[in-house]
Order: sequence, then C-alpha cells, then structure tokens
Amino acid sequence: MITKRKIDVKMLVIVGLMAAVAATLSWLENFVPIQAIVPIPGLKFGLANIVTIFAIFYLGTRSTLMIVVIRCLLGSILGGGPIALAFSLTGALFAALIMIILKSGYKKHFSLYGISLAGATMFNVGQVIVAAIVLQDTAIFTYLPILMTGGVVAGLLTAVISVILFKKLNNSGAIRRHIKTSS
Amino acid sequence: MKLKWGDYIIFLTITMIIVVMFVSGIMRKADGATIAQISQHGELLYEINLDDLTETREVLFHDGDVRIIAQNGSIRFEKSDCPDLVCVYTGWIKRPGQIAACLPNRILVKIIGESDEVDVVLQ
Repeated sequence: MITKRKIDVKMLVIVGLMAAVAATLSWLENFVPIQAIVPIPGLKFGLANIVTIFAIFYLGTRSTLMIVVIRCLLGSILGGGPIALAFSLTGALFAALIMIILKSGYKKHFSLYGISLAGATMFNVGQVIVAAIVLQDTAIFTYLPILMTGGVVAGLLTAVISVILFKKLNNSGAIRRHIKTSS
Repeated sequence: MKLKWGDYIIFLTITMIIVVMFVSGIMRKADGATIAQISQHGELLYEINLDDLTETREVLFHDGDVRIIAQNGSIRFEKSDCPDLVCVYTGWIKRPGQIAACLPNRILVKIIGESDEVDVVLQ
C-alpha cells in the first residue's frame, strides 16, 4: 500500500526561500574581513542563525532541520568545499538542536537572548569538534574559550536582530496570513 | 523582551566554561624548553626548540606554497595556499598551549612546554 503524504506547497516554497536567504547571508559574511581585524579562526557573525531562529519559532522542527541542511549544502557550493561543509553543517545542526530544545521553555524559562546565546556557543562547540577530527589532535580545544567569547557577541547580535524581526513580522500580519504553524 | 532566569543560567554557564578553560590554559605553564610541533594529518613531522633558535628556520609544505617560519622564540604561518588564510592571520605564537592551524591543509602547529611531555610519559 502506498501512503500518500500531502505536501504543503506553500510550506515547501517558504522552506526553499528561507534556505536561500540563510545561504546568502552566510555567503555575504565571507566578504567582511573580520579575521583580519580580530584574528580568531572560525569567527563569524552567524547571521544565518537568524533564519534558524525564525524557522524554529514559525515553521517547526522539521522545516528548520531541512532549511539548515539545504543552507549548508548551498553554502559549500557557493564557496568553501567539503571541509567548510563539515564545519557549517555540524555547527549549524548543533545550534539548531539546542535552540529547538530550549524553545520548549520559551517565555517561561528562556527569552530569545538566552536561546540565541546557547545556539551560537553550541555552533562553536560543533566547529571545534570537527576541527579536532580534521586535525586528529585535541589541542585545538584550547581555541574553544576564545571562539566562545566571539560566539557570545555573535549570539547577542543575532538575538537583537531576531527580536526586532519578530516584532515587525508579528505586526505586519504576514505571518498570520501565510504560515499556519505559528507559535 | 524581558530576560528570564534561564537566560542568566545560560549566560553564567557559558562564562564559567570560558573562564575555567582560559585559567586551565594559563595554569599549564612549563618550566622546561618551549617546543613547537608541526604535524599534518595528525602525524608529527617536525619539532623545533624555540628557546635555542639562533637563526630563522623554515618549514615548507606544497613546494613552498605553505611556509612556516620560526625566529626569536616564536613561530608563524607566513604564507599559505588555503582560501581562508586563517592560519596566516593567527600570527606569531610562542607560549605553551598556543596553536596555529591550517584546516584546509590539515597542518597544525602547536607549542608545548617540555614538562608537558614528561606528564605524558608518566601517564
């Protein structure tokens, strides 16, 4: 017997759109020579995490994971290659998973700031684990505190942007009109 | 948006992890010689004693496209053929525990104190 699952076309379009937005954001970040100013290897603004946060709150877990995977694949095609893919995919999935878990306590225990902060630092943990595997040396873990300090700044930045974004989206009514699974 | 108690716990946890890891890194000071280990693919290829460097030493990979130089007790990636140049931007490193890594080429330069080595032997 063939079970037919209805595909929500609108949702499919939104997922594709969001993956493209996220991939573009992380691609654009490459043009900011942040490494030359603050020489912390692997330091990023993590603007694509804004899309992940949006997806977790408005689109649901399944769509979020799809967006994250597609975004990372697109990112590696746009420039980066296999090693960059391993970094971004592990980091982004770590970040998405912790934020999905913490979202269940949203408003009761955590605000967007805490959730975004946890996501950003988990991204760093993922990065360092991949780096340790690639180099086959655990010495790279000494980078974690430095990277995490950058992650705190990046996490706060994405939180501030997300709060503004959410406010605008909720006021505009676009979310209510187009997305059913809002929270 | 109001902060919740969970936010403070997240922030404190992260801060504590950072502080503990920083402190444990600083505490691991070695009295012995400062040695730079250069490895690729997890395989130790060169060991340079940074303390008794009298002249500039060069280590080349990829026919000179990747150049690591050591002088005056410090070591750095001077040139690399990788796209991100993270290794070059890391700059000079000289204290035990510091590392410079070129992930695309899987080259790691790490500095150890000689007493680190002794610890490993004792284990």
